[in-house]
Amino acid sequence: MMFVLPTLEWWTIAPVVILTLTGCLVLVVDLFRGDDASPEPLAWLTTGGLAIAIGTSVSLWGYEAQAAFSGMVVADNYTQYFTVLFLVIVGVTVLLSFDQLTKEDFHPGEFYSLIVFSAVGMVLMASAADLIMVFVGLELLSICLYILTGFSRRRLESEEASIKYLLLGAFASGFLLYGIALVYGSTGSTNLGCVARAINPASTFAMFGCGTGSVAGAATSGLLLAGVAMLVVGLGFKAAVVPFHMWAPDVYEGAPTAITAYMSVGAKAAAFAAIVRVFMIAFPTLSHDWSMILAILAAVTMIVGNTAAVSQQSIKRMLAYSSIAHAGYILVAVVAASQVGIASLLFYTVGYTVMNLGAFMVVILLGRRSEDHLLISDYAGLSRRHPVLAGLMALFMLSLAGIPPTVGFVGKFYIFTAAVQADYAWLAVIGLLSSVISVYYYLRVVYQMYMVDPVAGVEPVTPLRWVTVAAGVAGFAVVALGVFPHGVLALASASSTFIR
Amino acid sequence: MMNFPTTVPTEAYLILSAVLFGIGAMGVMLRKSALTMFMSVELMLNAVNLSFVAFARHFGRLDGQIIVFFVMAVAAAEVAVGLAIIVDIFRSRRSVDIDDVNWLRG
Repeated sequence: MMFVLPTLEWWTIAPVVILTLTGCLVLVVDLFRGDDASPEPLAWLTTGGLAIAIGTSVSLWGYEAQAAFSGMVVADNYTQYFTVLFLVIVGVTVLLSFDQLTKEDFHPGEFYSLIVFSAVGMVLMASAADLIMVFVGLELLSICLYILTGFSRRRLESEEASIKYLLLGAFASGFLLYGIALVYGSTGSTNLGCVARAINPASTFAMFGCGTGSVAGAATSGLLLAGVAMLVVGLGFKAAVVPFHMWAPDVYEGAPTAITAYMSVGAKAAAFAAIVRVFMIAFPTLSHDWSMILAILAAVTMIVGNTAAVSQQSIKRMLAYSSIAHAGYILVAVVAASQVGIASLLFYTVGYTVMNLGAFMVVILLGRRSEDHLLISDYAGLSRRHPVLAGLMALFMLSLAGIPPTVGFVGKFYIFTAAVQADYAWLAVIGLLSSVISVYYYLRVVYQMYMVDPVAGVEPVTPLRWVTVAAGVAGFAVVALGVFPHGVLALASASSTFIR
Repeated sequence: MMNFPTTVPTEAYLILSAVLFGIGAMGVMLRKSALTMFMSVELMLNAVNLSFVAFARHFGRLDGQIIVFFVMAVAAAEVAVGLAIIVDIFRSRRSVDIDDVNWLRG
């Protein structure tokens, strides 16, 4: 009997290969170093690997979409767009964590390799052409994040956040997996293109490597809908969508601040990358079934996230609820289910990443000595203690609230426009009203910084040079993307062509 | 003489799988010990594995069974990390009761 060996198109996953090698190399190099050696060489090694992977990903831009590894992954512009975004986020996290790494006696080899492996998981989620690939990518990301959350072992909050995240995350991935099993049972395949064709024989997503053979099952609606609902639970949990958001405030508060920043932008973007692929490719013909569910989830997420953020005293908890609210805005773009909607999602993801990372940079600069100065009242009179940081923080807060001329405003504008075009005007109205609530709690920080006198005896802020530079770059990007959004928007449009 | 069915129908496996998944889910929600909750999660994953194998046999295809290997590998990794975290918690608090782990609100 002859076996036809499957072809392996390694180039399609070149960034993943480079990242995996980088992670392993960091681990091996770490073995040959003393216990109290400086983490600096490992940080450079990680950054170097990330830079090479980013370069590879950029060079793969613009090729025709190609499925590889027997329809497990697909390399197209969408994959590369998210890959570059994820790797930039990881690079910034390496920079942000450096100070805490040296002060809190983290083990640098483990820290850097875990963060690189979690990036592998995120990239696999964005390039997945098969539900099983989504699951494996998600678990790779999650398992690394469980450990990273508990990394400051001396603080009990960090441990506690870790166990909560682990138990709830594993619970949610059980639902995701059951959803995949039910979809497999009703359509006979886990490949996104094949699932679409089993549901509607007219749909052809040839680029997802379904092949031309017959599809085993005929879609039976009850089982399939139950499977789709379970997929919503599993993926919604990772994106922190209400009512699957319970873990987010506790985990964000307990985790080391650099990891909180990483989770709030990286894991969320990866979850949405997978949500878009799964729902736009596999279930487009079921959209009248899931788009109303997602629309209600989006509305509830925006309302709950924004109202719960109002009463928070800790800046990390406030940003956690704010990130839940932003998951709601991004979900509105998924509900719009059009190419314009997905382009606006891609744009908003970049904008949200820049402004949220910027805000966390200021939080880290202020609370650098083992996680203190994390109350909003600690920002009192910051404008007099350190005017540059106060100005940057005010800028990020205004952008998160969606006030022009920042990227937050432009991103929301595109998303709500797409929602109105898709006849979801009521959702856009709820989004606008709930973002009015958000202005209150974002401006509360600005009020503290500019209108309240500093508490006597507060030590002066001595910012870290490179983090301050990074915050400055983020502040520049927030305004630049707000005034000239066309460059990134063109890239986002070119990345969303797989939706028809 | 009684006639035993020669094959078990696919539906029987699916119902068993759903029941096991339900027991696992209830276990996570109702039990207080982190270890028991963790075991319940593993029960949920293995219930899904049963579904995959049953479906694969029903279709006469292998891919469902191969998926099970992926799930088992992922579950093993999760157990390794989970137990490490639980041991760490036990060392600092002398308890793995989830009600004792409440420094954070919510």
